[in-house]
Amino acid sequence: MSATSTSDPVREEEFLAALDAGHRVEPFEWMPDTYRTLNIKFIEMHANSEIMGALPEREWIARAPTLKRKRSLAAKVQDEVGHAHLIYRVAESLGRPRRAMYEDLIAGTGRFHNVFHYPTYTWGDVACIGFLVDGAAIVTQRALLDTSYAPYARVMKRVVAEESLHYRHGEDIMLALAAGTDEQFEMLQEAVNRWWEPIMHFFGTAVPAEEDPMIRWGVKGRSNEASRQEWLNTYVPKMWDMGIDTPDPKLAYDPDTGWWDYTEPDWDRLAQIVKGEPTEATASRLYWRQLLHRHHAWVHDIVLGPEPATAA
Amino acid sequence: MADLALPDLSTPRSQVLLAIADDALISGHRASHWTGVAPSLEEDLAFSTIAQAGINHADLWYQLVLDGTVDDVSAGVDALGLGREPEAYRHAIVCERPPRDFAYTLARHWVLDRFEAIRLASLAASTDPEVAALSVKLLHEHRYHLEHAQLWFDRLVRGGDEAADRLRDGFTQVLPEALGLFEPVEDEDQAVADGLLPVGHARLRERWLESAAPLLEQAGLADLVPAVDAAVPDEAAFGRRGCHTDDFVVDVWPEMTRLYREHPGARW
Amino acid sequence: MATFEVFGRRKWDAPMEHVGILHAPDAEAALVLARETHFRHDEGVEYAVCPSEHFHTQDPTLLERQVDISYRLQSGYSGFRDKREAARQAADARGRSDLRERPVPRRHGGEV
Ligand SMILES: [Fe+2]
Ligand SMILES: [Fe+2]
Repeated sequence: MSATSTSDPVREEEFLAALDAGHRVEPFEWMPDTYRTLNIKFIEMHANSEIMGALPEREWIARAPTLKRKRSLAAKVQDEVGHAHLIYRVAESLGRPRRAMYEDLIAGTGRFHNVFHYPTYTWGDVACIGFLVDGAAIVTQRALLDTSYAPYARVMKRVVAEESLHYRHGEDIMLALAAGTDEQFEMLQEAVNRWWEPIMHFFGTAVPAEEDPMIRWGVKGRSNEASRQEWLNTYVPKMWDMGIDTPDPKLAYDPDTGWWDYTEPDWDRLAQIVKGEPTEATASRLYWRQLLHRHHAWVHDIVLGPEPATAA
Repeated sequence: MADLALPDLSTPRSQVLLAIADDALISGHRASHWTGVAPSLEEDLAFSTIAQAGINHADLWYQLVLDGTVDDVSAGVDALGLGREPEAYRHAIVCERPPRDFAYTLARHWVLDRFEAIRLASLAASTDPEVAALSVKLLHEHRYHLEHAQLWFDRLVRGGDEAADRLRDGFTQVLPEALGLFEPVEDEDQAVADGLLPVGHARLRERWLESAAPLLEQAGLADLVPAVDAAVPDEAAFGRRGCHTDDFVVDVWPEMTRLYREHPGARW
Repeated sequence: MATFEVFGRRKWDAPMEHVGILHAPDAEAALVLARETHFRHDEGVEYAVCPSEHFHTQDPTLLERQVDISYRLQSGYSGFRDKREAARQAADARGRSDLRERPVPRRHGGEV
């Protein structure tokens, strides 16, 4: 980081004006503290979510119902770990070391998306995570192709390209269950009912774009509600088409306004999930992850190289 | 799967191919444990590929077991990979052991992949053209496995006392049990006489020892190199005849096959 | 004499690509000289150099594939038209075809 001050109101105004004009920020440029902090917070949470998203799905590699699903699920989870690998690097370029982020995550102090706090019960959950939850991630990640921090936008290009494989992987699993036996169909419908509210939560409350600091500072380009509407546009018709119902009786598309109406999810429950005591699923995934991490302290310097004396 | 007429699995050909396929499937299944939880993100990605290769290669070997006898090849592959009773699996017991820690995992990976490369090299001369062709393909892919295994072997050996001790512990557990890899399958002599299996498992053991022993010696692990005539320890014996431990019968098999078995005939 | 590998980005969102090599006494000089050796026709928006001795190359045969890995690629998934039709028929058989009658947007904006 340069020696120049990072809190200079005049430069800050210029910086914001440049963002509004479409300027992309490179790591070597001057940037206000607020910009750096907001980006680190957002990007670290994104990378953490890729890792935490891999954990529930990985549980099913061992249980997959066919060898084809076993290897493609393993490959899909591998991609999610690969996304974490790429995205942590972006946060690192803003000054936050990867090991610190990783250790905070497994210590339970790192934040990640609500949808990765839930347990999985059946292969129906694998279908829902693979298609609907990944779909929600695809919607928000596509909106990040325009993010103002250039290294993040570049990494998102590659991630989004890989996600179109995940989209097919997810739809393929979903369609197989929908067209399958009554038990398979029920397995899917029940899982959709379970995942509905977490996915509605995923996009966040409908904060107006003008009031969202992540939008003001050019991290996000689109409002929470716009992302939620886009997800509904794509995924609800897909489910209805395959005979899967959505559990919200109020859910309806208005062709005149081009907008979906839905029951407001319980936002207190979201706050409870992401800020309250960890869910049982999260506690056990993290506990076990911590145990593995501690047990392997001896190998970290060997596989990563010794940690630099001072953070670069 | 009543409508799936699987080929005779008791022939020497089936037994040899099942041993190869089951080694790959069960070690791949165990390797997939590390996906999402490996000691570094880079290693997570590398090891996941090794797990996927195990599953993928098993699929290819099961296809050769089917030998064109079923119309629906995927269903046939799953009937073999997920539809047999535990005592019908022919992998060596060392493959079914849990991953334990990363040092044990790496020691096993090193041992298994050196063995597999040697077995594939000999199978490249099989009189069965499909077996020979697949072996050549897979041998090419094993090159990465060998490089990867050797990479961490070298780094752990000179990675300080704790790493070297842990690697030693890993090899102490793995090496005696690894001898189970070289047990013959049923009627193996017939498969050797037919040239399907150009080199029997017992002779593969000699080749494996010849290649592994010098490296183990250089790494200060000479005392762990199995004697030429060492017996397979009882607890790791007869995997190739379908004897398996609780690590498979109670741990791997029920979890791996439950969903498949609960929905006979379903498509996924 | 030392050689330096030169990398450049054609556009702000393009990856750093290897564009060539130059001779220079040190990295500082290489950075000055690279501007005219490799970017004088506006070939890029950003560039970097690295000493050739720190540039390690892998044997390219390690990337050769002999085994099908299409399960890792989009090409591993196909036949969606038929699969969707099969799911629709299953829905009809379960008496759930009415879901398909509900109003939905004409085009699915987020389809990938
Ligand atoms: Fe991802
Ligand atoms: Fe994904």
